[in-house]
Amino acid sequence: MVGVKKKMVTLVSSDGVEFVVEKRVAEQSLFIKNALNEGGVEEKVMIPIPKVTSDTLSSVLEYCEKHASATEFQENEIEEWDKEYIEKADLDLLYYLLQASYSMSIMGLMELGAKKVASLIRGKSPQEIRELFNIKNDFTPEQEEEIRREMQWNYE
Amino acid sequence: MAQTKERRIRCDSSSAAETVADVEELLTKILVSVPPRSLVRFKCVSKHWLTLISDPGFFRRQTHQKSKISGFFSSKTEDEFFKSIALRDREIPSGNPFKTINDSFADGSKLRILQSCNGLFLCHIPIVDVLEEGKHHPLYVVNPTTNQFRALSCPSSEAWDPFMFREERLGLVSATPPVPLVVKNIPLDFGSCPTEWPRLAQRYFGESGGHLYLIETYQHSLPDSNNAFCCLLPLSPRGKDNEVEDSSTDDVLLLMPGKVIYYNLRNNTFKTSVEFANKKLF
Repeated sequence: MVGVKKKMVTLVSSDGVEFVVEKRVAEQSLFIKNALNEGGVEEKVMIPIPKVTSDTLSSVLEYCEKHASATEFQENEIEEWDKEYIEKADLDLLYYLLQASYSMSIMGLMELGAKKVASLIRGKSPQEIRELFNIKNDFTPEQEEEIRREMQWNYE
Repeated sequence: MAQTKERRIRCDSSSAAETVADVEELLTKILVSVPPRSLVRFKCVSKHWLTLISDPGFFRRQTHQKSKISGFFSSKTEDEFFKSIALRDREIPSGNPFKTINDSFADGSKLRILQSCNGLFLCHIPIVDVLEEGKHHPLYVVNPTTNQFRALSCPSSEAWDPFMFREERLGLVSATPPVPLVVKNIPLDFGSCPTEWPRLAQRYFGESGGHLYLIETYQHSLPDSNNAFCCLLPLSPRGKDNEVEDSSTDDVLLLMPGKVIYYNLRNNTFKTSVEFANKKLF
């Protein structure tokens, strides 16, 4: 933090931890950007981030920080960074990041997380998917058989 | 932002996953990135997933995903079979999927790719015999991912009634899936119609609203006798219970010489939409 004084905002996670970050970093989230625009208050802004715990928020902000200065990097550098960033997130964090990106409106992170989940679930059987997402199979055996038959010639 | 905290033990990941899948927007975002092959299987997961994946809007989102082309196929090689050519530094899966397809023809016939759409190829086997020339070539839809191909069979003659839709000179033969629904013309032994095979005027192989279409328009040498030959291959199941659905989504617009007609796939009805004053233009 040298030279010009940077505008800072304070984000408060759902478990009460405060994160002081630069405004331009926080504004990677459209939710925060809108909140700041509506508030109009310049100094000592405190924004509660509901439903996002401090662990998740810390990781989200790491993403935001990188992408706030994305112009300093080459496109493929950012791509590479994204890849590593999402790779190192464990399964729990991945889902929490997705939820956070949704509630905080961070499109890039949502896209990144969704792609990662997609790559994890590809090739799984419908039963494995149901177990993973705790989904109830609400088809009758006949209906399921019919869907199976109809899709047969496409790929199976 | 120097927050370093011991990572708390979270509740098990399945509940985190569950919350994500409960948000429809997130689930859609995930599913549009799932390769089609898995996606088709996921239709069996639940009614909600089936509805989501079968939705034409979803299909559009999926096909509009920014995807980088990793390579293309070329049949013009000395080896006489399709060769995959990699673009950039991307890898082409090992082995040539087309070699086996070519080999499966006992007489050594070679397939030729005519068009492609959404990872499927429309192919035919060029007929060398002069006597056979001009006849309707059998067409195949080939899925290079699964190495499967399916012949688009011409409907049998008894199922074909040339007197149907005489006005429009179009006919319809339907078959139960997985045989494609075929809208067909080609009058056989039909009064004033010419004996020679009609000339292929245009061919369209493409996807629209979650369905794959092959539409061929033929033209006779006789003036004003135009025929459309249309094969419809459903990519997604058309449920029997969705008849309340707006039937206009089942309209196919066919450009015929001199006019544009609506063909409704559900009711098998035709409606002239526009007639051009200057027929020579089209």
